[in-house]
Amino acid sequence: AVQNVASDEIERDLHRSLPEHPAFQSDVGINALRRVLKAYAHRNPNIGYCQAMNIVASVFLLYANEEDAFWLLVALCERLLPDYYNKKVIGALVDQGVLEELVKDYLPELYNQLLRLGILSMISLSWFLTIFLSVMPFESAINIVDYFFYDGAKVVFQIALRILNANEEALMKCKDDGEAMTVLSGYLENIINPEAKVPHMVHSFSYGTASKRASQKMTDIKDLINESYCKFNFITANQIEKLRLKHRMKVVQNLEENSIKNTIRTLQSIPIIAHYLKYEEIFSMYMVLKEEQLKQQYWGQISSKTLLEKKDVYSFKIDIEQFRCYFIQFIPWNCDNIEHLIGRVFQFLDENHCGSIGTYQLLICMIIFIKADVELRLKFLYAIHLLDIGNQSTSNMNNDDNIKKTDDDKSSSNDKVETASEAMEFFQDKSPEKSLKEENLETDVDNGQDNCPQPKELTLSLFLHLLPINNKLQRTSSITYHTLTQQHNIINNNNLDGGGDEITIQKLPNMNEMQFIKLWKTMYDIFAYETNEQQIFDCIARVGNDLLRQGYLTSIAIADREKDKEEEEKATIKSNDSFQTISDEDLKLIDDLSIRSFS
Amino acid sequence: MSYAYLFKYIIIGDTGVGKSCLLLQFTDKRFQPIHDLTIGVEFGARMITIQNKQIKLQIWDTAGQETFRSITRSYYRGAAGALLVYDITRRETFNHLTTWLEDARQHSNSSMVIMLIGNKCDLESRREVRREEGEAFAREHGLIFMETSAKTAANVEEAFINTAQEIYDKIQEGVFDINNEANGIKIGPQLSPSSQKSSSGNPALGTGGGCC
Repeated sequence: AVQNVASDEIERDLHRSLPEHPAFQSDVGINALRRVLKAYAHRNPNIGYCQAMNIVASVFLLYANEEDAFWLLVALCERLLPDYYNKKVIGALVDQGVLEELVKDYLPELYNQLLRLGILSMISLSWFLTIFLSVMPFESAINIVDYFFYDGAKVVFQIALRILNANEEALMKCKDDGEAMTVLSGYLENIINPEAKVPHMVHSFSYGTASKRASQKMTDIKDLINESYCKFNFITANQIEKLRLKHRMKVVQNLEENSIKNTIRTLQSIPIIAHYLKYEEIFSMYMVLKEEQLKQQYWGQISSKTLLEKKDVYSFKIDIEQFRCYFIQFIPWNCDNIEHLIGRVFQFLDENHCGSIGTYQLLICMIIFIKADVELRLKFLYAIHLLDIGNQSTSNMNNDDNIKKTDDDKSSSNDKVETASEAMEFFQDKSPEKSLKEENLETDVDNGQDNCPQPKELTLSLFLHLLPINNKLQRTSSITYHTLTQQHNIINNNNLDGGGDEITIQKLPNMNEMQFIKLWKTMYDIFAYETNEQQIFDCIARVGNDLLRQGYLTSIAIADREKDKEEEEKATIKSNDSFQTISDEDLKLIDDLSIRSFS
Repeated sequence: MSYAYLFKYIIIGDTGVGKSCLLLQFTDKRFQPIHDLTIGVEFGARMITIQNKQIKLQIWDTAGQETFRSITRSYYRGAAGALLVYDITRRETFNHLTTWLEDARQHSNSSMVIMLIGNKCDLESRREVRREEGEAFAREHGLIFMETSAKTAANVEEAFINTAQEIYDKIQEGVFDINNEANGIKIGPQLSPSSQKSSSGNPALGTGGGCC
């Protein structure tokens, strides 16, 4: 895949590499350039292809055969301009810092002016990445390339200093960055090479005006190089190496800081995270994760070099073992049979079934278990028990069954309506004002349903989508969602008004008996070591019994036509809520514990 | 040259969508079929007139390749307008718009005006992104939208000028804090400081100038 991206990019840039030169206006030149760049991308996938490499490579091809051009490119990318063309052009950024420091030391007045204008970082990137080839007429820049190969990177710094030095007077008069850019580009475009044997080539994108060019005074490239040696020859390769080391730290640190900021901003754009976590909290989470990651990399085989390339926290991969460690630390309960719970939670979080989760999922999980209120926690527990671990196929079959039944049921029996309305009473009073806002959501899910006949498995994203926080509603709303229409026969159709127009749709799918029993088992596990264990167990048992009985009764009520599951599920939904009303207090106790045990 | 306002623009979008060509068409009124690629950032400027006010547009043209993304980010801050460009003949450049927009919104000042541009509309036969899709995206995200061709110059002037108009209107409404240069707007010598003070957020703006 990396190779493909590289070759796409190479292809796009082939016609933008020294396009003014006749050699690259025919297939011969273009094909050679393609081969050299592709060969390099193949040799060094870490770099692959970076814009600017095409420009220097095309110059090499003018003066060397393909193989030599290739090796020159190798020398340039891997030795002469180290790290210049990697994923974040770190080397070039480092050298910008070095240049900045040199200007500060040797052209202090100008330095202050450039700092005010804020342009040092704008101008020099292309100077470094293309050894001036993209900013000067070609026939002049190649002289610099010559000196560069002879004397090393110090030449680039020397010339850069001299260019700034030569324009000091004009730059000091500039009032803004735009003016300064114009001054410098005017100067650079007018560097000529009277002895050149190649045709004069002006860069196509010299914005603005021939008039500017005409009024500019010409500079002979020989003079520029001469003066750079006269004035700035004292800069040694050694000095540059030292400065590079110093600035490298800064650049890497900067990139890292920016990447942290970006990641946190991205995380903050997710409603549930923004709702529950402050910037500082996400930040400290990030640091914890990063430290873990670093430790692993230290003990593992991954080299520090790839570490630098690591993009951001989004790419952190947490497998079930790591997740276990985190989970045990933050889970608020002294849970019995915890492996079972961990397995379920992890499977639910690992939406793509790739055996690992990212920071985002971990954060969500932590929010639910530490920060969220009882209701959200219950919803989550409910949701993870909809997963059938290990026998996904059966669950699908069940779902198919349900759908069919739902269809058969459209002309629903009165019994059913009554039971359903009873079960749904809880939801009804909370929702009417929300129905409108949720319409978008409804249609989204509907479309999904229309496209595939099978109901979607409840995934983490779907779950989060169903949370009221996402719809900017109040957190206190119930887990059910209502809508106005008959056409939405997604999961079941309960006619609340007994023939009225409003149909309530429960967006979290219903649960079958097996799933319910498993959920209840988890409930027992969770409270296993509480001090008032016995009391809680009694509550759970009583509620569980009631709910099962209710589910059972409702299923008998329609047993003449149907088997059982659908109604049972409905009852189960209610179970969730009744449970909540009964054991809220108990759970609150546990809330306190949870807060204490994290920290 | 004297001006009433200076607006800073930034042009962003995937590599090869025609950012530099749009700029060249706007500043120099020419199209360059073969051209260099942009490394880092390039710069162009032009004067336009809006409601009899001379406005200088200062335009920063950025490199589109992912590698330069972290560098490009630092240019958002001082921009009053952004042209977000995609190529109507390459679907993926349209698909990447969300990322670009996220980036722009995160790193710019909140009142920055963003113009969405579907470029290369002269290549109708190779079109991969329908006009309606661009319109819908723009509507959804509150952007202005236009299809342009840097080759035929269709809508190029309009793209830059309409963006300026929008910024100008926002200044009139007092949305932009024009005294803060970090917003990408500078008051030119045509508007003396005294007149500018009385005019910020005031429709009767620019009493000081217009004909220097």
